[in-house]
Amino acid sequence: MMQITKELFVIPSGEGRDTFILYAPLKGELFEVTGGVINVLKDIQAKRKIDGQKGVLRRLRKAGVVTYQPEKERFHEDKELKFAPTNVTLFPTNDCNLRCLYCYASAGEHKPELMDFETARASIDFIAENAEAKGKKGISVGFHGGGEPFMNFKLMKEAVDYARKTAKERELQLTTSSATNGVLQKGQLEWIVNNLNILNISLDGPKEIQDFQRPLKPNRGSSYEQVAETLRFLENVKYRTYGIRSTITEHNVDKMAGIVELFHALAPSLKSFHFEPIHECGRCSSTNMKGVDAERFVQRFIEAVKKGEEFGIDVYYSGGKVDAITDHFCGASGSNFFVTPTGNVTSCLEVSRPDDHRAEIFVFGRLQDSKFRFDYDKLASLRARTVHNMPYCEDCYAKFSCAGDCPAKVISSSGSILDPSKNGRCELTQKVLLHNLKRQLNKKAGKNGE
Amino acid sequence: MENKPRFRLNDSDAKSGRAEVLRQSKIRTKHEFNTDRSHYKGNCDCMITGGSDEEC
Repeated sequence: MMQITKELFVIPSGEGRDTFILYAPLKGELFEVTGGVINVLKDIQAKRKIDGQKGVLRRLRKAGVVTYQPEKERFHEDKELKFAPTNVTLFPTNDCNLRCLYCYASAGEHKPELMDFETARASIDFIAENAEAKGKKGISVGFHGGGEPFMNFKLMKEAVDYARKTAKERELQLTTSSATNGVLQKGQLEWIVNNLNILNISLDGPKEIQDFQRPLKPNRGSSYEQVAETLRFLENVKYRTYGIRSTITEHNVDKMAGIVELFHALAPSLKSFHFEPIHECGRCSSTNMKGVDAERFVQRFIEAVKKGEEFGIDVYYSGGKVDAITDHFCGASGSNFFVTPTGNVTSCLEVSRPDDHRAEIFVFGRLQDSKFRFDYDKLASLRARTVHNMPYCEDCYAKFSCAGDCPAKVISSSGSILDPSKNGRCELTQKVLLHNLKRQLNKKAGKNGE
Repeated sequence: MENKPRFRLNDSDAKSGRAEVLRQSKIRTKHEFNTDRSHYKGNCDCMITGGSDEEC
């Protein structure tokens, strides 16, 4: 008996035409078809007799859109009951030398907390033991958190030295990484080149934008000049494993294509730039920073993508990718091992403080007497945060691209990590994905643009 | 959930007419996350801030 693949989506092509995009993400298949094909598929679904249409049916069968066999389950249940990560991200501090207008952590406003070496050491020992027990080849140690990691540079140096020694003793490979605001001293830059495999730098655009959105603490000068100096240094020494990420607000949304040009001039070795629309949280309430209109973001983002193509650069956003499929948005769904300055374990970079109302969901462990203790009920809830358990996403063509979107943002809008119905990013992700699907079809047809 | 996005076959309003495939494209999946959740291969730690996983 003929049947239709379970995850098939139908999107009107638009412009009043009776044509549709047929999208089978788990099959990697994409079509533009006439309404007649949709009616044939509806007949198959309703088990009605099909007359003729052999050519169309042959193509759909070949693509797996129409099948005769029961389909195998693509996604698997989590079999790992014990939490045994081999990667850790340490949050060295909540202190910061910048006062970004949209900072999710309001970094620098709280009493400074610095991670001590004992916490870092216990974290590294834990992942190394796990890697050995699981027969893994390597471990990774990263730095991030609700502050600028390099404000606790001493800890970073000690942690990397210890991780290197531990990895060597246990014959494991070590990968190191950090996020940074890019306001760094020469000694820190030299250390990065010699000690970090990956670096992610935040920069929001030209001087007037960067200095407005990401100011230094009062009377400390321009952050743009210092980040630009960091980029010049990294380019000069041919450090090639870094990236730039920008937060897009109403102040720079119309400049996105120009920002691509600027970044390409500042960092000609880079092959991708990451643009992310602002999410209203943290310091936004006191600085009156607002979210960006979805339509406007998408329009400008598409211009930026085209500008990137001129330079051979991939401009991307966290949603709407056609070449990646997933059932969970990020590692917050129970795989992340993030350790806060005070030794709490969280699965979300944005939720590190115990007084954050979302900590009840995301903070699932704690370092106690030199051992990590985990709340496995909380972990099970996080692991269940997949798109399969989100009824709102069930019939959305973007479900395996965004997988319910960022759980920290979703819970802020609806009160539940499983309910993205009030999440403004849905519209944005759908639009970006639809644009990318049309682009994919046009590529195949050898056309440019829409 | 009245307002949930609906893009299934039965949600589409197609007119009767000739059945024709106008264009077709095969998508090459570069990253496939969580199809083996026991290992969380290639999982991005944070999609928003960039994260530190090499895959991201």
